[in-house]
Amino acid sequence: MTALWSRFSKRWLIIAQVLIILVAATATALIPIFDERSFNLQRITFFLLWYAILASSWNIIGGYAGQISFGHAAFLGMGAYVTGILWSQAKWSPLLTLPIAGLVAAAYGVIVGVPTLRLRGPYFAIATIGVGEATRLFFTNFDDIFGVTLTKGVTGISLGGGSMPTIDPVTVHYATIALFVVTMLTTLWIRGGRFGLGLFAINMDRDAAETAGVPTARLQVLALAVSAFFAGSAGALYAMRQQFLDPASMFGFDKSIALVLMPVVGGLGTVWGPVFGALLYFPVQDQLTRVVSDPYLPSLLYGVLLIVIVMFEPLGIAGLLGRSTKYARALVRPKDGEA
Amino acid sequence: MTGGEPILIGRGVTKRFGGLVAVNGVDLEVNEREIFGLIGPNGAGKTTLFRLLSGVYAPSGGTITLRGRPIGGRSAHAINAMGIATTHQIVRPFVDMTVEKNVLVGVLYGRSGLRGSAADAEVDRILELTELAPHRNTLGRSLTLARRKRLEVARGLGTKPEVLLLDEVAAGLNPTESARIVELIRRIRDSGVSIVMVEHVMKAIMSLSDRIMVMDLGRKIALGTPSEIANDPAVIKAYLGERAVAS
Repeated sequence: MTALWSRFSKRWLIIAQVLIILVAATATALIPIFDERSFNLQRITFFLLWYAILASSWNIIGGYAGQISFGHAAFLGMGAYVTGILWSQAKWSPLLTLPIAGLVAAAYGVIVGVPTLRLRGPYFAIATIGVGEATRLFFTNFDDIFGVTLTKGVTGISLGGGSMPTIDPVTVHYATIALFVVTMLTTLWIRGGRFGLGLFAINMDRDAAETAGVPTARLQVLALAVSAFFAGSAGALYAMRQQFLDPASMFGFDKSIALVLMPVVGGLGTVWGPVFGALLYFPVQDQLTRVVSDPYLPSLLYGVLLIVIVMFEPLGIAGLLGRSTKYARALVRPKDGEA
Repeated sequence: MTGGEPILIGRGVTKRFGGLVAVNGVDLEVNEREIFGLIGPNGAGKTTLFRLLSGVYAPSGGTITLRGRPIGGRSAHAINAMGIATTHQIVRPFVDMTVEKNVLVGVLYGRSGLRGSAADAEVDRILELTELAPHRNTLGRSLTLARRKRLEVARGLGTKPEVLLLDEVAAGLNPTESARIVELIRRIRDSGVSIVMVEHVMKAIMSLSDRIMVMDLGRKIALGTPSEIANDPAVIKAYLGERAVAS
């Protein structure tokens, strides 16, 4: 009887979360309709959703599978550059490049994941730092290596000018909302299903998962590929929105750190934690860069914040909410089995 | 009870670690629906043999087959997919998952192929069988040792094995808990699963096993029913020394 009830309420919990996603999508979709000239609001919306997509994608491998990646900007930048190159050189419509950008990043995730995800303990995390830096240097020196003019090194590529197809900012706005919805539904679906259960098993004890029949190597690589797909797609959106790409801002280590910071602040391994993290991170980052002239001070603050969170509330905002009310707890569900 | 066909067969199974021969040319046959006990003094090689059977080690010589298919040199989940489930001597539940979810991992990733509500029903069945149903919503980390041991068995059962390898499943339990797990193992055998168990708790293994294999210094020194084993001079010598046999 109790088992039946818990299954019933679980279904409602999922419906409630899908509704929250759709309400958020509808609300943000209305912005350009009510005010076509709401450029600043559109900018804020873009970055909030964009960071939420990135944080949620990182959470699939880092939060669910427990494999901390310090080089996720590699996938973000990979996607951005795929769009940048196809748009500027092949004159593709940028929107069409988005799935290609995601797939190339996912393929890169497989290439990176097959050797590195065998590593245990902190060694995967260390390897990803190397991957992130190597990818940045590769794209910085791309033109010199191949003797072509594609990425233009540190100067970066400008997009949307000359003979390139143009894209309307409102179209980017809607594309961002669509990717946000797809990302959230995917992480929600993974969290509640067989795939996610396998990832959590790996997270808790990889050897025990193996003996329980979980193909741990395959599942982890798949998780990294899915994660990289969304990160790469988000990169494509960035290229469309900012219409300028350079290696430092796309592949920078500070981007990789931001991707770790948001899920950890919000609540590692929860569906909504990364979204909370993004909602907090973007305004803080946005204001800090305006107010503080020292470029290193924000990093210092984030470092202190990370230490405080890991020490006092490892589940971040989701953990705090989970303590507050029964309803919040049901939605946030910090750990499996805490009803 | 032991009338079934042999399903897990070892021929000349040998494992060397450098110069040390831990398991030396052991032949064994485990039958369908049989409880097969493995005992021996410390250092006899039973844990090594157990790890060969579970696929953790690949044999240096000889072959191990399950229903005619060799099991050597496969990854742990592939061995599981063939039909051999293992419990860990040091229990390893998924600590932040409920008992129910722990078992569900085995069901969803094992050989049953069950999904959705059929998988949930299978979890219910196993929780009833292992008497864990009242604790289904307890987290792995909060279980007592006795329940963790039963969870270890339940998770293995979830994968729908043909052979269940139990490593010291009664060790560290008090007599009441130990008696309950003995009952559980018997019920599992009756449901059609062959069991190979390594055990230090003699009472458990003597009362449960259909046949017992005794190892000493890497070799098989005796094989028979519990009463045959208890009266075998070679076994008494291995456990107690020469004088015990002479007197």
